[in-house]
Amino acid sequence: MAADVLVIGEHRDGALKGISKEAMTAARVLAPQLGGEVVSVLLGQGIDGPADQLAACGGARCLVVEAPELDPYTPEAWVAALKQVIGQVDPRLVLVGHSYQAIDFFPRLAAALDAALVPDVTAIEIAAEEIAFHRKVVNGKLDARVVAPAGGLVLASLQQGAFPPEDAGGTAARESVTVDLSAVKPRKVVEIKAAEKGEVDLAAAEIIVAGGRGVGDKDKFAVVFELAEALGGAVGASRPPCDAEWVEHERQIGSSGQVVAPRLYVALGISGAIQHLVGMRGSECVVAINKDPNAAIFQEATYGIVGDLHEVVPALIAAVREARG
Amino acid sequence: MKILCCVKQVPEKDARLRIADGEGWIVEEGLSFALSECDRYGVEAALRLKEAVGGEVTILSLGGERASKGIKEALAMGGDRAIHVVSEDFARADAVTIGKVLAAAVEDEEFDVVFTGQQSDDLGYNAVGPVLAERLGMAHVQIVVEIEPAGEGRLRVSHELDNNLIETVEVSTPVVLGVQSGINDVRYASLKGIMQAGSKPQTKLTVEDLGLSEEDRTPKLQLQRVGFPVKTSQAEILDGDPKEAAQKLVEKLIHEAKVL
Repeated sequence: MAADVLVIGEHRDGALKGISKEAMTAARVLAPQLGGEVVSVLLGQGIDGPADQLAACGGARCLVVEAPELDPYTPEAWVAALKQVIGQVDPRLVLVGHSYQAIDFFPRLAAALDAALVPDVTAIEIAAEEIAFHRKVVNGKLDARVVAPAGGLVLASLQQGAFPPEDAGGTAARESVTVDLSAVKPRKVVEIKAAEKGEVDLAAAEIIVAGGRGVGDKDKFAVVFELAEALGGAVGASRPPCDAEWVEHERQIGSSGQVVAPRLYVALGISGAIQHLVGMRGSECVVAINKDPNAAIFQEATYGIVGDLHEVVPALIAAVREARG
Repeated sequence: MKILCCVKQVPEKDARLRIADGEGWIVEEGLSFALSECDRYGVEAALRLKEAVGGEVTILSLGGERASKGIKEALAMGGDRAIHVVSEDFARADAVTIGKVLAAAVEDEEFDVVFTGQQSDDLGYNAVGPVLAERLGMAHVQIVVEIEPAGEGRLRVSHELDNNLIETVEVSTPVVLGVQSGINDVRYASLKGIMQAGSKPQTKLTVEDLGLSEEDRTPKLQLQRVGFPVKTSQAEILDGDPKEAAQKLVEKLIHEAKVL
């Protein structure tokens, strides 16, 4: 019935992705409010391991769709398969983690189903027949409340970390589902390889000083290195300085860079886009220096200084040197 | 090759935002606008493809009258002509509705390659490209970091996957490519380009001109309100002049957090 919540699971290297466990946690909260059940689905070939992990995330049913066309992943095959699964399940709400893979196939699935699409959701509220979603807009600076009217299928992808995974307290019954993929003309996958890591390994660093767009330009980025040297730490960056080639790409921290968890993380001129935050949230102590008091990074930080980093950092370097004699 | 490049004009990155009365959107008056960051990389990628294989680059933008400035910027970089679907409201619609509007504006043209920026700086959907592709019956690749021609009607495209993986795929045209920031070095418009931009052909359309059904023109979601986020946690802000703040911070790091 059109009250169920369908979760699309994702897996890599034989394991269910953490972001899929988060989506299951959200679904288990929402389904009873919608008066429906949680159904999950996993696509691929030879996916017994991750299917068991998905079933262990609870819900009423865990659908497993295996076909050679589903491995490796292509959006063409996934959209074709999921259209059929959604036709069979007839859910009200379809959830997936807002992964890079979901960014690839999920919007196309929404268009193919002519459904509403809400990407990168941070919270969901159900009130009467409406479903209200919260998501960040305007470079992540503002929170928007977006409402899906009563009825109608809604597809929502959930921001990583927004729905912390909880124990399911039950295992779903696994069901094998067949789909017809004979009409699919998938793109040709040539290769999948790790992005070049280079020489810089930030994972082991105890102290990291990272610069963002707010540092200003390539010359000014020297101040990030100076502070790192004074603190005895390594240098990292958010995406914009790497894109602009102020520093090497291998220093990038975030969803398309390294994931770090130092004891001290100093963020200079970093606004706090989610793609960066997911790469440094495990840090023990975070210091943010930014001129914008509304920057999202201040919500992640232990200590903050609101001001021009090019005035604050030289003073900080002097204070560190003085304290350390 | 017929190349289309979708662009959006958005508030500049460090714009000071104010919420409009009624909380429906931000106050746009007095704000500076620019092409969305990924879109600039998209324009550059479109121009490079044209330079490699020949053809024409058409710029497409959906937005109020002010979007014409962004279109002009893309034309000054080297776009050949432009289509402007003039609508304030639809530029803030849900991703599927925006994709339908854009698709309807170009469905008769049979473009070979369509570029979008991966993500707009304002709504940040990461979604309009694949919707456009589905509506136009084209293939798509998202989060593209490398594009190479691979023979007649073929492109070899690398894109980002999760876990820091890069996947390379071969696709046949027609295809929609969502361009990630950092894919190339974006050129500056030349003086000549800027001079010529104003005289390049531009078509202005309204959403009503596009022949969409009533149903397709009805947004699927309502953007009910925007606001500054409720702070769930907040750093301890250390105030004073830079020297005072820096000394307080070092004190805290040594004695409170004990990380130095």
